[in-house]
Amino acid sequence: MGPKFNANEVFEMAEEIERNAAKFYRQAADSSSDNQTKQMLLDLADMEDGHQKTFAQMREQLTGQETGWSIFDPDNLSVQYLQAMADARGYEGKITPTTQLTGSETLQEILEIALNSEKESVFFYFGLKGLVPARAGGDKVEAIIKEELSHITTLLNKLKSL
Amino acid sequence: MSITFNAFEIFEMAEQIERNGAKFYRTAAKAFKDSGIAQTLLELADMEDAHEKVFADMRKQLSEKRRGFMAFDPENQMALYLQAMAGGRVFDMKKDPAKQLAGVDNVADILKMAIDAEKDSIVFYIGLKNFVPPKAGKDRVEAIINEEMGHLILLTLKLTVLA
Repeated sequence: MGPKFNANEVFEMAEEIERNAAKFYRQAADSSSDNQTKQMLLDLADMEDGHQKTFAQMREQLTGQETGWSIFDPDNLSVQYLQAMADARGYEGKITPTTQLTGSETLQEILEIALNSEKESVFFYFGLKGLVPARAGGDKVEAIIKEELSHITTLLNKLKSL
Repeated sequence: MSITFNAFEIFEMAEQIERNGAKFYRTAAKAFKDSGIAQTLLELADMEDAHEKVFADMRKQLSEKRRGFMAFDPENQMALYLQAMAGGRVFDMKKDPAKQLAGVDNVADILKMAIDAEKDSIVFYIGLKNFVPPKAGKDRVEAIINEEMGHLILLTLKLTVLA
């Protein structure tokens, strides 16, 4: 299987993941009547905004040479992984944050959608990290992965409290 | 109330995840022995066996000092993450993986279940990798993550072919 994305496109996908997540959290916050839950969801949305900006900045800093894969991924593993992630995302029956909320979802349903979405983000960024050399911001991707893991902790603990 | 796990227990959980994975693949291979994916499932089971041995080895090599969290995770962030992940909602260690397959009668559903399980393993091990210092085998966890990523790619390709 040959590569289907270039570095520029992969960063654009990461930005899109973050935009969708932030939009989802804000929409979920709007439909939440509990102030503490609402604030938690808005905080998560703000963090996703920050991640989107980081990815956009990394994309803008790509040099012409770095927009290709060859210097990033000599064994092509990360490209295959990202491709598999893109193919597996939203397979039939999976709800994603791009699904429009009806407003009638329970908090548990919202948290479960968010949890799946955070996991998908972690996989995607883990593959992305394999493509980004340290000098091009690999440590920034690592920091975002850690923050997404902490979102998973927050969501799981909230689910447990229900 | 919170339940805290120490490093020793975290490795035990990783071993259990691998045991459950291997059992799932072997049961699926038996149930779908004429499907053309049985051999693939058995190979995946063998790889999960090998991962279990790596985690068991790492657990045995933990010194008394490193069995606690503090030496590994000064901010406690990853410990809290692993604890939340192992809290039952993502990984139910007591669930028999063979029973999950009861009533499943098509290969696509098996592959989707396997993909979800591989994803949960990867996301757990990404946290685990952050928790393990280089001298305690961080690179071994990284190698296992890469192999699980390989499983994910393989399973996704198989699912794409079926679609």
